[in-house]
Amino acid sequence: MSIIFDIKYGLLCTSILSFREKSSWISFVLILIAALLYFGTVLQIPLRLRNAPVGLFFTAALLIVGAIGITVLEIAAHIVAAIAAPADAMTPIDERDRYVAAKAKGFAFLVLSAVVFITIAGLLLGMTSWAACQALVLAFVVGELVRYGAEIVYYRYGSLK
Amino acid sequence: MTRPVANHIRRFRFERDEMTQQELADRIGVTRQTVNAIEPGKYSPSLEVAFRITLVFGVPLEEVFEYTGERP
Repeated sequence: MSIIFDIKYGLLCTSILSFREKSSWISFVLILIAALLYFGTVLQIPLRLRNAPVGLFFTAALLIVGAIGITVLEIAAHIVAAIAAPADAMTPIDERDRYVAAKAKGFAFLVLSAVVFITIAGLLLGMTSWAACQALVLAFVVGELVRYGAEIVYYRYGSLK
Repeated sequence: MTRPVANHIRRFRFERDEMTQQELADRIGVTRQTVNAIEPGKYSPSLEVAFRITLVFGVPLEEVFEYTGERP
């Protein structure tokens, strides 16, 4: 059982994570691990090979394998979470879930847009296609981390302030 | 951050034979976690949910919810 302890009004109380919050944690952690593995691997490619066909092929293959891998792990982790608390998983989303999702997506869009614009500027200044590809993957990763991170904070504390 | 809308839901639940958060949530159509977030002021419910809460307790809105922010 997932339990988080909060000190509140001088009392120690417990609050069990909802399925939606567990889902946000699962996605946040899996994306973070996948991103660390991906960037840790692609940055090992020697500079001279990065824009060569072999380097681009390796990068593309890694992206495809990573995308499939994270999808499978996400599904598996969500199935486990749903089996652990089936009634909670079957509960339809309510107005607070929609509010949290909308707020989090707003923050993620800002971050995604900023990194995409920086990448466009980089391309205009002569950034290579390989580097631009990595910058766009980074934009997606950071955007998703901000989205799920904001969801976790909103579910826990009700606000980012 | 605590929002400028306080409420007395916990007290009203206690006075209604210690109604559980789950029971109230089921009756107003939200999740238990949402009731759990509304009670300490982590989340301000929509007007529709606020009215549903007052209908469950059978009291006027201003007896359950209280505006504690600055006067406009």
